[in-house]
Amino acid sequence: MGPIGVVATLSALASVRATVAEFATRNGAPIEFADDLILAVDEVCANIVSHGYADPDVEDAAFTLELSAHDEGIVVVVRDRGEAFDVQRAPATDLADWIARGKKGGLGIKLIKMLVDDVRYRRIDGINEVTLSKRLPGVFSS
Amino acid sequence: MGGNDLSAFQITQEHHARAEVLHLVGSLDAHTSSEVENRLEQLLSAGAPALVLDFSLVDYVSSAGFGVLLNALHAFRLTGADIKIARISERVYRLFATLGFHKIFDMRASIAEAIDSFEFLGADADSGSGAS
Repeated sequence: MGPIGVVATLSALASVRATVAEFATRNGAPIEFADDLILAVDEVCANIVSHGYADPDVEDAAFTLELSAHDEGIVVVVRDRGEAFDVQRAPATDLADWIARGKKGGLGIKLIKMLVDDVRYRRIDGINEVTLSKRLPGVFSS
Repeated sequence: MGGNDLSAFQITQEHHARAEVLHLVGSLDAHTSSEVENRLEQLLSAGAPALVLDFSLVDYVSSAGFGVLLNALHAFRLTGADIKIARISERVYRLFATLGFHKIFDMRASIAEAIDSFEFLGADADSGSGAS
């Protein structure tokens, strides 16, 4: 499946989730697996829209979504040209602290790291690339 | 690829004698959570002491939605009010449980049970309701 272009708006998130759901289901992923992956991808894309493209003067704000199925699981690569943000190194918020303070923000990073097995970030030639990998149940890393 | 109907969210408010009930329909994400946040702030400002969120037709909650719900819960409880969640689906409950939020929110199987569970309201049966 080649990269899918998405206009970077919050209203597009529903379509992103539908795309991931359809891909995961088509590739035989269990419903819980699909739900976790959908939420993780949604959080990455919401960050791009809300933070990566926070500057309203950016024209043609968009990102791409590339999904691939492997024996071990599903890999989703999201690319954008917005502000750099290293989701891989970003600290995951402390859940108890977040709950106690009712803090806004930070929960998305926590969710991403909880819900997929591997999160990678790199920036090449002005393009942010986030790769999420989720292993199917019963498949262990070597 | 666009949002269109997929990104729509509906809120219907129903007044009961002992609680306000919000029937929520759709996905509670970064796009729709501000709508819910505004409605919850209105209810808080209006001094609603007991609020039930009917989650039966909520099919998804992201971090933005969890943030709005948790902030509202804190704000309501600070004033002596409370929020209960009713009729949550198994799939959405699992998302709450992933974060441990199922222990923070009081979740009930039915709207009637949720209304009855507000301790500060006494044990009288709920009477009368009307959608607005």
